Amino acid sequence: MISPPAADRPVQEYSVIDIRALRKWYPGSDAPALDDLSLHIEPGQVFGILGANGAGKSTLLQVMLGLLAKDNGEVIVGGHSLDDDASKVRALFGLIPQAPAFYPTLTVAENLEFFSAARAIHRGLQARETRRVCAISGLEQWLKHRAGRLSGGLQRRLNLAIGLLGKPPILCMDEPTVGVDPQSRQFILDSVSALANQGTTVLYTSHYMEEMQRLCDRVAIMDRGRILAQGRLSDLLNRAPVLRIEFSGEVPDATLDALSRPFNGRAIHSRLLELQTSDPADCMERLGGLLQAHNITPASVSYGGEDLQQLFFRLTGRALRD
Amino acid sequence: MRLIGALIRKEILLLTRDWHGLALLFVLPAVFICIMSLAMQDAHELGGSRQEPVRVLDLDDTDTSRTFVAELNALEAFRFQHVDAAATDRETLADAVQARDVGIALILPEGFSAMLQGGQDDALGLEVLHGPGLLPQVRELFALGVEGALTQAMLASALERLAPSWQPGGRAQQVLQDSSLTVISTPVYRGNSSRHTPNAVQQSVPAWLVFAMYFIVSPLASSLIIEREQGTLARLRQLNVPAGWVLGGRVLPYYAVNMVQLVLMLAVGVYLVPLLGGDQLTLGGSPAGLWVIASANSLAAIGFALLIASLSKTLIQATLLGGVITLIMGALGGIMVPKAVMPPGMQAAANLSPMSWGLEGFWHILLRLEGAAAALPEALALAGFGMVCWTLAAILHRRNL
Repeated sequence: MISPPAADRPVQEYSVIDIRALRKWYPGSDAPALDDLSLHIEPGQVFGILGANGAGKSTLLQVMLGLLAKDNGEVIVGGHSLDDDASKVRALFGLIPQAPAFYPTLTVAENLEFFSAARAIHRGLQARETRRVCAISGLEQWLKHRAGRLSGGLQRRLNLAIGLLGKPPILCMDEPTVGVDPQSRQFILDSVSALANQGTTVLYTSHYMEEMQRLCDRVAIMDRGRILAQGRLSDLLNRAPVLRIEFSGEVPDATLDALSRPFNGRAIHSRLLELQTSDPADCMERLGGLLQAHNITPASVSYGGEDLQQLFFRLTGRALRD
Repeated sequence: MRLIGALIRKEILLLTRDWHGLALLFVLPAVFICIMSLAMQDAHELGGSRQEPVRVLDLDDTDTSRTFVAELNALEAFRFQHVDAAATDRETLADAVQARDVGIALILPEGFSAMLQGGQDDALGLEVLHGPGLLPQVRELFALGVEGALTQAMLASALERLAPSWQPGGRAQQVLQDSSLTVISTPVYRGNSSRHTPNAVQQSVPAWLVFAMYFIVSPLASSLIIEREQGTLARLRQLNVPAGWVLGGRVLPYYAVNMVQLVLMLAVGVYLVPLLGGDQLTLGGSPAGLWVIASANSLAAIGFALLIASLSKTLIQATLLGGVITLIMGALGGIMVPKAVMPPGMQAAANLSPMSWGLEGFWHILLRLEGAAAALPEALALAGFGMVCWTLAAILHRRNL
């Protein structure tokens, strides 16, 4: 059973989803798809997983649902261990995959009827359940239409409606707005907010920052199979201002070390340096000499806190992903 | 129970909305049966409507050579044309054969009568010209006919020498003809009714029906692969739908498709082929036997289709793999080329093809007019093949999930 967290209990104990040290290697790959990954998601939250393509978001969802085998780690959902009781874990989820996953030659009503049976919804409740999910997804007038002939936005809404059948306590949404027109996107985001307000826990993956900022209570930033940061969005963004110096080319580690040491700074990666200072003008003046000595010209210099995009790039770098 | 019902209903809806797939399953084999039944009609009736043209050049031009040619005219499988010796030579005839104006040319040399009377048949020097495309059995039939006519001509010639009063067409020749032995060829069937004489439709319907049942490979494999590619299979798995049910939900709809094919193809043989000028299919006396062997063939075809779907990663792979293996099984199993005309080694290899088992099973019922029990060995072999395919498909399907 999923119950709300007690205020005096540590997060791990009342997490509706508790993932510990998860590891997954695809055969033949030279790096793990999930690398020692841990997550704690509380009931009723909209939890966002932000990552570039190939970061491991979809793999994480599939492993969490038991659709892909893991190599190591533990997944506990609603008190059920995936290793011991995979079917109970799966039953807690409503899955809304990235691509529309239904039968294009069946009508909307036939698809909903079929997936209701697959969800083991009692026949007597099926009509009411169909009406409920159609109302949420705005599909009432499309019931008799073949799913494959619907527009892309309507197909996404049908994909959402199927995932909502049976009122699952956790919704697992894998980039549900990719390739969707602005109106349908807005509709889907509104629906997610409404569901979250009704108490549904939502696990939402995306690479759209504004969706994360709008929807999510907590966010995990993921790259190359690892969680680089996770927490409340406000906590992640509420950091002391820093002086950010970005270089156009890669700078050797020794040079970065020489530049950052006098200012209690750190190299985020080979092209980005962050320096802690309350006096950026003085800092720049002192840094100027060092840059000249190493014959380096910065590409950009900025000072202040971060928005999500800056945080994301700071953590994951700007290099193109494979 | 509701879930399996929903899986079956879903598959039936998908099938009935795929008009191209349905055309492939029903229309194509019906067309095959009509074409093959009509095209192969003469192959099952020696001396049927087709007569091979033969040009005869008689350079001897004697009573004996003319008697010999008259004997040849009695061969029903050939149509003889006599050419003028003054206007034609060997080269002209060879050109005509080469140009396929005529299938065979026969040249009777000068001195044919004299040599015939000498009784040295191997030194007669009759020359037969034929094109490279002439079927070996037609060539053999013609050679036998010529040898028979030569024997007749030699006997007549001997009689003429022994009885000087002998006249062509007279009493002596009558005696020769009357004493000829006739071979009576009778096909043996249960019931021994002349209605059940084997013909092209009797061979074509079961052959193409067996083949057509394997046409389900394409739609069945496609539906499973599309489910996998679109993520529907993952969604079903997330909903705790057992993998075995996902496969099993397809069995009943495709079994129904195979049974409709059975009824439709038999109806084509009984009603449509005769309308088009072919022979009529006779169904034998064992509907249960037809059902048993058709069901076993269906189980084998469904198992094979599931295996192809589980082996293939993409639609193209499934189409190619399924299509090529089905064709090979058909070619090997006597669907396209009757096993009877295969050399012994190939006949032994043909027995490895499940389509050959299916065909033999149908022939027990349709050709040999036997009952279900006679078709049981083939039915059991097909069911066994189907079960092996199903098991492998289930293992691979789980691995692919």
